[in-house]
Amino acid sequence: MRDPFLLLNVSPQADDNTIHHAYLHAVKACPPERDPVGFDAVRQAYERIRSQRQRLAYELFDTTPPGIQDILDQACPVNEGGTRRPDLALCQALLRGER
Amino acid sequence: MARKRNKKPSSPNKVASSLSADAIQSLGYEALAEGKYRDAINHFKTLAKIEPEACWQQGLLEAYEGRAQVLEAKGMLKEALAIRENRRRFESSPDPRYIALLLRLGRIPDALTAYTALSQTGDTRSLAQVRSLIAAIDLSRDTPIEGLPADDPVYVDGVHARHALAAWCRGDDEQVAQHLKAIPFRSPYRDLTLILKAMLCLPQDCGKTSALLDKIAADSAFAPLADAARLVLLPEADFIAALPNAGEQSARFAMNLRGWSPERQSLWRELIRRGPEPGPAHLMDVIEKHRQMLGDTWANQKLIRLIHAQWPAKVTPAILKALPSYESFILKAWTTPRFDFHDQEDALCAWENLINVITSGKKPKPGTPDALRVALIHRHLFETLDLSDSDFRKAIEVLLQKNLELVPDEIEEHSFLIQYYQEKKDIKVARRIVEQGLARWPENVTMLNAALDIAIATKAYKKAATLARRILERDPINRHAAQSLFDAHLAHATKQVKKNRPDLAFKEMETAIEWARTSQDKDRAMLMRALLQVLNETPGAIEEVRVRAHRLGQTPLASALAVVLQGSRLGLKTQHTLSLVGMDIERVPDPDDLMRCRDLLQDNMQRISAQSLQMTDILQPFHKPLIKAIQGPLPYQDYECWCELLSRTKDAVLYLMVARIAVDHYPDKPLFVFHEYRARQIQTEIHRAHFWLDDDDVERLETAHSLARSQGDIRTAQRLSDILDALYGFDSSASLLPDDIEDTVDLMIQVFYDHAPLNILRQMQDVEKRHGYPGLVNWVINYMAHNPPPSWIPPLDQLDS
Repeated sequence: MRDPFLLLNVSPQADDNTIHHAYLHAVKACPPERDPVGFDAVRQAYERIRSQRQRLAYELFDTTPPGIQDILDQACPVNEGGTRRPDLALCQALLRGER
Repeated sequence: MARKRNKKPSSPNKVASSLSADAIQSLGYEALAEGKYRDAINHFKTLAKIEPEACWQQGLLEAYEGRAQVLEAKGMLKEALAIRENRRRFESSPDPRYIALLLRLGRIPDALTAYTALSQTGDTRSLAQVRSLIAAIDLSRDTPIEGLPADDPVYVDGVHARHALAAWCRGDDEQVAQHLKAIPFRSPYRDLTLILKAMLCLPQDCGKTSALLDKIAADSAFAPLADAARLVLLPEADFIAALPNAGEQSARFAMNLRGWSPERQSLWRELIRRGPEPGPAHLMDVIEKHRQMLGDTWANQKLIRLIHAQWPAKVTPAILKALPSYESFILKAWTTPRFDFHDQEDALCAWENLINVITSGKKPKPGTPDALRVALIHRHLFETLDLSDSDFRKAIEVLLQKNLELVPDEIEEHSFLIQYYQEKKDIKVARRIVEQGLARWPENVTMLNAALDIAIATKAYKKAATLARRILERDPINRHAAQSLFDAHLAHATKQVKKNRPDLAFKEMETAIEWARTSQDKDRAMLMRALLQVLNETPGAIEEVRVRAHRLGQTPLASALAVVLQGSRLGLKTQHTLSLVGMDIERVPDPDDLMRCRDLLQDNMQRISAQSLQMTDILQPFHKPLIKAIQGPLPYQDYECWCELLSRTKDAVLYLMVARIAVDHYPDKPLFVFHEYRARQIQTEIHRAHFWLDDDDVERLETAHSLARSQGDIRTAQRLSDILDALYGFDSSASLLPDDIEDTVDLMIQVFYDHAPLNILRQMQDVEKRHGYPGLVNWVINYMAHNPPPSWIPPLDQLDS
């Protein structure tokens, strides 16, 4: 299970309101009819940190270890909409069949 | 060291040369079918020396093709090309796969020569395929392929394709669109145009991107580009999982397109250095190395989780020492085992140490995050520790009550404690907490509901009615409150009847009728009111009773049952009620009537549960007609329903009779053996007698248990297993021994152990080992009951001494 703060893209110090807005934003990105798995992950993350009580309970009792994605997102998050086009040489390598 | 000798296998040629042409041909095709292409080539070559082309050429071509594909799959491209060149000698026009291989090996002039030869054949399909291959290679080069005719579509469209690709890489999407427009539909660059159009939709319209990429065939010359683009569409977790197997160029392409910075890409490479699913130890190393980038707090919190994931293996004191105090105490609390009572104390101590770290040994200010942390730990202790020891439980209860001071604004803590004490039937404490809660949250429906439940539990019906009204004002569709209000008024009416205040009772009943949410509830209340009117000798009341009873029961016996059940709430005995309204229950009910009686009892279970111990008295006059009808035989399911229902009504007499009838009709159904046992048990509980079982009873239970297991009736098997466990002493609640003879039996066991022959001693040891001391007691009693007095027991006077 992902780090809920990273999944919702909020700081661990965020308040209830900020987390609620982040949840709504995340749900818009993966509505249940289009991405049920993503939606479920977002909903679960929100349920784990929606109130201060839950955030502190997460801090004290949740023993889920981080995964690769958590470490990557904490260290170098991907900027939303920040796609970078690969250079031509990379495309040419793929066209030569070099996967 | 002895050198390994390579033993050369005997050539199939040598074997085949002595065979007939037909036999060699068969061998060739057999080898082909088995995928032994080298052997097949040799067989067909042998055949070529002795037979005309028609006999071997097709086979040889297939064998070359198979062999070439094997070599290509192994990456042995030069060897594959040699095979394809051999094949080429027998073909009129070059095969597209041959040209593809030439292109892959960079032998462009040879490929173009073959392409020219293919152009002259008019094989448009192969030509389109080869053009697409040349187009992809042309684009992969910095400069276009030389030597293509000026009117060749690869050359003509290549100019726009090259510009489009370069523009896309630069991010000049307008230019991309312009150049793509110039490429015709049937161009060798068609797949490239689809891929570029697909990627132009990213990241906004992934659905369209996916649809466009779906049009690219797996064997397209542009497939590697399309596959890399498809990676981009995966959800992040799947994307990360797919990256290690995607190939370096594809991974880089996809990571860039997803907006991964060079730092993120580099960190990902570091994370998967030891495999696509790194273990906790490697993740810890990476976190330590990049602590600055990750932030100290985050790194520490994740480190304790990684340590916990591999606890206690691979955890060195140095790792633990490096942790800050707060995280190290959390880790200590997580990792303190709690297998038995002493461990529980350790666990409690570990969490208390953490509380000390949080509060620095002082009382936290109520309502602060630290106070909430402490309250959460108290709750955690309650939820995770075994509280069967009463002192331990009391200690935890004290902590839970402290939570109300620590976090006075947390309604959750109040609700939890109220529910806890309600379940524990400690209504006094529950009421105190409800009052505190209501003082703080007077409008809160949860608090009002809790107060309502307590009022009903303490038979404060007037208060309950007021509370239910308050809830319904705030939450008009609150079913629980509406039902509680109805029940409260009816119960209050009963109370007034018992106080000999029919005037007030009628008033309460009227209010109950007003609040009834279902027609059945309304009929029940009206039936009760009519009964009270009968008692007050109101004219027409008996007729009203009959009408309401018929509405509730619908059939004769069920109607009478409805009257009796409501009468019992007014404190009326069954026979009295029946004689008051002139109802006769002598007639044996038909199946429909019987079913209605059952349904009625079922519906009333909620309301009569408090009176369950009186159910035998209420139902007693109904036993005769009911039993006559239940004698049946009825279907299995009917007996099952009756038994389950009666087990809850606690009318043990009727329950036992029905269970015995069911056992008679369905001797192979273990469920009824269970019910018969339960009925006997309930009967003895009610009469506060001791429940005696003989050997036959135990044997029947054991047989039924085995039968239930073999029939796959898991629920019955479990119920019987629980009974047998209790009988054999795994549960002390079902002792087979009355207290007053316990000492005598203890003495008897001692005598057995002192004087019994070896074979008896062994049996005793075995029984005690398997079923404990109570099991041994049972065994000794049975032994004495079924055997003549053993000769090895010394005379009584010697025993006394």
